[in-house]
Amino acid sequence: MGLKTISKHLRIIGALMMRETSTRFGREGLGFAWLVLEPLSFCFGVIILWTATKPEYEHGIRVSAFTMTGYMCVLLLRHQVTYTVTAMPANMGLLHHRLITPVHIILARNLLELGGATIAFLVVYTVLFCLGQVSLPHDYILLYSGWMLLAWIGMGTGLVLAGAAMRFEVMERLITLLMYVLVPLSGAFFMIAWVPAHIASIYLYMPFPHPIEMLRAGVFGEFVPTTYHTYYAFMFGCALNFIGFILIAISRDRLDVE
Amino acid sequence: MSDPKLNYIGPVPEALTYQRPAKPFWRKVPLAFVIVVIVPSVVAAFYFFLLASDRYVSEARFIVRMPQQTQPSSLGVALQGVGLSTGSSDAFAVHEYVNSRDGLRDLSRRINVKAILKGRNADIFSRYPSPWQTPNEEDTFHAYQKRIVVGYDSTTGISTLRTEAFSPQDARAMAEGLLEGGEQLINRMNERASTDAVTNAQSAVEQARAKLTKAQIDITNFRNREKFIDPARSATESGSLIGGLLETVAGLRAERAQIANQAPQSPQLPGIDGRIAAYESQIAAERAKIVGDSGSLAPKIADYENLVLAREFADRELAQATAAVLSAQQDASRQRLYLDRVVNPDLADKSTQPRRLMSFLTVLFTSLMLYGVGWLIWAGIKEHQQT
Repeated sequence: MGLKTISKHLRIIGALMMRETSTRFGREGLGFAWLVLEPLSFCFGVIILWTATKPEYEHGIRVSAFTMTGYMCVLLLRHQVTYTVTAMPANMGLLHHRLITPVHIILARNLLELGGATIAFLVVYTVLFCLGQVSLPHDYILLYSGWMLLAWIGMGTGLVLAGAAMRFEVMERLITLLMYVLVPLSGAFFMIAWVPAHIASIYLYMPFPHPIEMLRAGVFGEFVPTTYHTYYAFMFGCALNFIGFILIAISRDRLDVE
Repeated sequence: MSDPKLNYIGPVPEALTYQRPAKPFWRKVPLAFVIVVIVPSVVAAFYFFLLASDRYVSEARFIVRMPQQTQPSSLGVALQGVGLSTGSSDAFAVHEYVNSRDGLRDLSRRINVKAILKGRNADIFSRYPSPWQTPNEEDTFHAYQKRIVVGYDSTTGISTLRTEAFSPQDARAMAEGLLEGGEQLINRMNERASTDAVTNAQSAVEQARAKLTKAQIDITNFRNREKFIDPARSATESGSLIGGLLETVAGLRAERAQIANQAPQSPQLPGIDGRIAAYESQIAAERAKIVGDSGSLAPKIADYENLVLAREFADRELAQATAAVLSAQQDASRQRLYLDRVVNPDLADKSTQPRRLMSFLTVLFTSLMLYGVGWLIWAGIKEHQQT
């Protein structure tokens, strides 16, 4: 019975994801491929720029490998937050269907973003690997858990912001600003080890650097110093998701259904 | 199938309610999922949990350092944290050595690396040579590289060497052998540096000595050619001679003035005049000897002083070069670089490799991710193609 319920929910989410791809990218042109091509082109652009302006090795890590890990994380985070915030207003009409709940809509969008970012990550990684810029990950499990944890926190952040945006009009204006602030706060473009210890200890109260450092530890191995507290970051993500879903649930009636 | 006695006409009840016998759950699993996820995971589980043989890890930590030549100031200590300057590039030399064919060759001289890589009862996939490998140098090297890890912690300056083998003793022997090889490399670097310094200093001494000898010979030749020991002294002698002559001339003039005053017609006067003339011509001749034409003494003094100066320089150079040899020899007698073992290779009492569960999970999650990504792409393409 449980299996049947799960497969029912999975079918709903899968259908919503497919709907999402066709409504967002349309059926013309490259369509769905943009989900991957967009982060890909961003990532390569930044890598080319950084490779041209920075020394080949910084703190013992190849610039392109470092940029890749950081930028893919920022992309995942940014897309998740952006699309989670707009998820509810855009899909309010779907809630007329008895089977569909806000959880389905939000999960569908987040899974789609996670999938797209994962494909982009895979492609960028493969290309850089073929160019000899990055070696195979030292610890796959650490890499995966970092990536999933980042997605978990990203979804939570998106949910909280979405809930806040539904409740307070001002938040919709503030979110663009917050997204810009998120880039330096996420710690995607530097490592904790480069930051003076007293700043790092404050900085690590943020949830974002932990999964990114985990991911880097997974890619670069033990000899690149990394700092992370998986448990803290996971619990922070849980709290964000919890608060986010509650906010959305209690703000649902504030949205007009056409 | 159908009932011979017809007492109901209409659709079969099962067809109305669309109740088909429920497919067993394993029939619902898509074929792609089986191929991409289940088969690799089962194979991985079979290999990692049943087949893969234990590997033991031996870990050693070392630091390559040089004793500080000068006592660092207290500020320097505060900034550096430690009073030792860690030669990180020298540490990297050891890392490169451990990872190189040279390292493998030296290790093979100490212990039987091939037997260690083969293992006594290792499974066929992790031992070397595996069934599809032919034992050659290239493959041996790669198999060897797979069993060693060497890294540098930039925050502490301590290097880590980790070796893996199918028995704890073998792992430790490999680590021990590599550390000894690294120590010898450091010693060779030391020896090379110090012998280079000593030979350089000694050749400098040789050159200085040759220069000094040449300067001495030049002076002797000059003396023989010009027929005097020291032109300066000759000049002084000529000077005092001229002085004496001038004095006599002055005396004669005074005498003549007196006679001319008392008896202007004295027959002595022409005699005195003659003597004065003779003395003056003598003075002119002596003066010409010191300064004047090419044969005079003045340019010779300049030449002579140049030669003496050259000799003095050569002398000083020799003294310095000799001192340099002495300090180079002293430096050579004390070692400059050390490979210090912070942690000696340990003897593992439990196998830590392969990480069976982690390796299995790696395969499982990787295949799941590939399946998910593949599904998304495939579904996306299918969706896109719909008209």
